[in-house]
Amino acid sequence: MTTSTQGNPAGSLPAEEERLLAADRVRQQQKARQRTIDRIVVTASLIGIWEFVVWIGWVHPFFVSRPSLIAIDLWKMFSTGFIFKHLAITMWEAIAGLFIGAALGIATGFIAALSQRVADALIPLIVAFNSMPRVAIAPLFVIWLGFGPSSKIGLVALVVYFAVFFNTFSGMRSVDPVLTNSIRVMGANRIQALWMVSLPHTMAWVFAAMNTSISLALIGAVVGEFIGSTAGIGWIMVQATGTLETTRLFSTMIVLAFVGAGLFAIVNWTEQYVLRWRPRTAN
Amino acid sequence: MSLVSASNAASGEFIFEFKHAGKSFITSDGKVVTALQDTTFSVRRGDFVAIVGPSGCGKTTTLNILAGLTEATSGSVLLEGKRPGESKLDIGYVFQQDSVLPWRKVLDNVELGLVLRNVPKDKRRAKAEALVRMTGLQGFGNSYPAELSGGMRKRVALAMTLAYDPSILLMDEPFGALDAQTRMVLQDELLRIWNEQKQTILFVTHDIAEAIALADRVIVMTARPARIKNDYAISLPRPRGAAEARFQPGFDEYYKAIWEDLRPEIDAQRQISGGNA
Repeated sequence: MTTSTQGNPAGSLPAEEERLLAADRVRQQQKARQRTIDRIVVTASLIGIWEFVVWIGWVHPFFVSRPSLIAIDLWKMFSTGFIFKHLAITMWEAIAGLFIGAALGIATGFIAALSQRVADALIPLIVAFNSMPRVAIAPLFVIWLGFGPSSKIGLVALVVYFAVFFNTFSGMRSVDPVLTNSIRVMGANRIQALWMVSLPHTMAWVFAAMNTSISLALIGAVVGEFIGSTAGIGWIMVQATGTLETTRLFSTMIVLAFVGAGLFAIVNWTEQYVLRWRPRTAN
Repeated sequence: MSLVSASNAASGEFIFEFKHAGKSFITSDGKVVTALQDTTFSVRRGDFVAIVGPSGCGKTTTLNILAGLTEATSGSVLLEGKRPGESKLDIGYVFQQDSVLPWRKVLDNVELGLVLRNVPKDKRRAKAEALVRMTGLQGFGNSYPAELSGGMRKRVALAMTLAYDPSILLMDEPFGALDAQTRMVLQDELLRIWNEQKQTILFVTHDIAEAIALADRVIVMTARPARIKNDYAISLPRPRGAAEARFQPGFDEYYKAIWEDLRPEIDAQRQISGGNA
């Protein structure tokens, strides 16, 4: 290598370097393609084995259903439109609860971290709540808020709240004092220092909590529906359990997996945008 | 050439004064640690003053008191006749650690001090762009700090503090973590800026050669609790480059004198720090 590439506009590289870079790019593309193929092969084989062991009669479909039956059931639920109402309700519960819980968690975590006294007073209470299995409170929420979506939204918000509160609090506590001192010496007041230093720093912690909160939100919504509901994916599952419809249980689980993946993608995309200043890490 | 004290100038022209100032802390295990003890010195407007002393002796405390980040617990420190926390004087502080905000692009960092002073957008942008050019960061104005090297982030920190034209520049081992060549380049840039703008600079370093090459005055501090051991007026000709200063006649004498002051203090500080570690 004879030239430095720093600040050097692309296109002015010597031919030899250009050639090496191109070869490197091709190698990386090949690797990416190989990875995709591997993933498809592994997933398809597992589904194939599942179908096969039921088909030759090693396992009874009553217990594990069959990929082909599940596919047909999924088609039926979507083509008749049966699933949409329930899907909308469960997603509404999860998303509304996620937002309410996150908003409350960020706000109170921020305030608690501002005052040592408030923090000291609150922490034992929060630790006690947090060590309790939070879904255990689901029956109470059903009694308080009824069989409709509000009791599930409440449960989801509670479950998400603690994760977000803790991370916001820890994030605020881990702000580099040099950054705060630096901006204060430049003339920032306390509010400006919070806005320009503490808040952006804490956002990284908030998003870490949001990522774990997505699965918590779905758990909260579905468990809430298990306890008492009149609609939703969890309600379908309770009905299917009553009539011993294994296939229906599997197909609703798959629907839930896709809902979770979708929510995860939304949060991930928001995170990429808000935290675009962070150095890219290899995935 | 004489190596006499430089601190006997007439009062009034001093921009800040330490009068028997001291600073003690209470550590988390209840012990009292004295970082600074009975320190008296004053600095004239436009002077470039370096402080050398063993690592961990309390030099940073001196800067933090001036910046208003902490207060002296004995004696007094006056910044244009006022307590540093109450003074309206603009201070620039280049910290030893990385103080560039990672979520702001280089230009947004550089204009931060002007944002805080409500300078209109086009005016502060123009100033930030000029500073980015002056500190050799052209082409990186729209980069995030994570994309820059340590030396470049130091340039950003310097540009950030220069943006709002502070009267005093506090610098805490600003070039300590850089490689020798980058350090030399930045030292020259600092001298050039100071020659143009004549801020008052208080520059903490553990590098004796750096102190002599840059400053008008070198204050030597003792091991903890830090006191002033000696105060040298450096009369090497100006304007001078940081590298060329090292070949000036007289440089070696300053170096030798300061080193002999410093050596017993470094040993003493090592025993104190060793006992703490």
